[in-house]
Amino acid sequence: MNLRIHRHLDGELRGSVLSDAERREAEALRKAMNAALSPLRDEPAPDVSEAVVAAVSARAPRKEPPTVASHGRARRSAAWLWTPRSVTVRVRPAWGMAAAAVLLLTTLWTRGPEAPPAGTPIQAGGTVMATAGVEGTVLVVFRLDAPGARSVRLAGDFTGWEPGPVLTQRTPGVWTVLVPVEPGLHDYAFVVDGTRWVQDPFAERVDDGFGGTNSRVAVLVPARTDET
Amino acid sequence: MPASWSSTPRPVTTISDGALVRRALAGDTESYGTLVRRHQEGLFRYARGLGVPREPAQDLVQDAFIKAYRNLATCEDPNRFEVWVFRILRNGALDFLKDIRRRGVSVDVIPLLDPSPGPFQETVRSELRADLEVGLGRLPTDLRDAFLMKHLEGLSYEEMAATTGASVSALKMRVLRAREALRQVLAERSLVWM
Repeated sequence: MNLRIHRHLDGELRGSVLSDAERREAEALRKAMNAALSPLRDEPAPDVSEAVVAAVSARAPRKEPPTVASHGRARRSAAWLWTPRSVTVRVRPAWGMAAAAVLLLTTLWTRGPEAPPAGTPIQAGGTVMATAGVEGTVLVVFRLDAPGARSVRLAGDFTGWEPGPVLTQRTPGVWTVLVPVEPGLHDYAFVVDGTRWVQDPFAERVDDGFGGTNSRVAVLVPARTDET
Repeated sequence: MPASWSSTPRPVTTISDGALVRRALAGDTESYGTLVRRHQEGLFRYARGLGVPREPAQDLVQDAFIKAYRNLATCEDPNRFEVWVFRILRNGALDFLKDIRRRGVSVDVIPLLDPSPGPFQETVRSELRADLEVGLGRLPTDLRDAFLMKHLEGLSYEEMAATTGASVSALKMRVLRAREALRQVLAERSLVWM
């Protein structure tokens, strides 16, 4: 097929300037393409308007939705392929307490002697919270036991629901990251291997508004012993 | 107007996309619903043509409109809302297909169309479905993407370039190669030159 036929099919060349043979060839191909595409055009499309309007009407003011490129895609892929890949999450209370203790010591050391002492660490599900953040924030250790994972990132309302902080595997299968978070209620999830959105099994579950769930943590304002 | 939408019955409204976008930005979610009803079919068919199965395609369309709404204030040309939301849908669909491939599933095995025949012209539809699957379904994604944008969505090459980031000449070449591949398959089936 010559380029003149393609230019004609692209609308750049009028049919009147084509030869009879070119015109027949172009017309035959056009009909064939339309015929091949007709099943797609004939396939009834579902009406998603009600679901969309309901979702956008009920949106929370601060929280961004999980993106098509991440959360939704992962859920769809997993559901469609019927290949759920379990992520084993185990709680190790002793490890959590140890991590909190290390975190508190580290925080106190980095803030120097003039810094207020940290309050009592709080353990919420699989996530250990520690006090004494900077500029009104609270340092929170997010933890996920995910043996076999190649990477784990954290996404939440505090990251705009983009996979952000990278968790580090300091001991086999145990992934952690320390993130400064403002006090308040925060929803979050872990992104395992870049595709799987995994909830913290020991945190409160909340509806994400799109048929899934998020994990929720309450970050409390730390007690400041120098103010008492 | 994109070809696929011109052949589809539209909701009875004369309100422009730009006006509906402005109403939606003012909090009128029903106006946004009108935009969804106006453009959802084209987006769904593009996703299906790209090789996304029906149910995920529906989810992708829904998510694209939700994401578009959340970012509606950044839509630079509300009168071209259809191209803007198409771009969002396309990114989602391509990401979905990449994700599928990472899991080791060939796009070739994804049923392009429902196995159940349509209500009419069953034999013809079955034959055409086979042609489409062979001719388009086995094209590399970039060629199929370009072909569908051009011949299903009816986008101009300039709109395609703005959507994909590829040059107009590169997109023309992709469409040309897709046509050639389709012509080859259809010629083998004696459908083109008869």
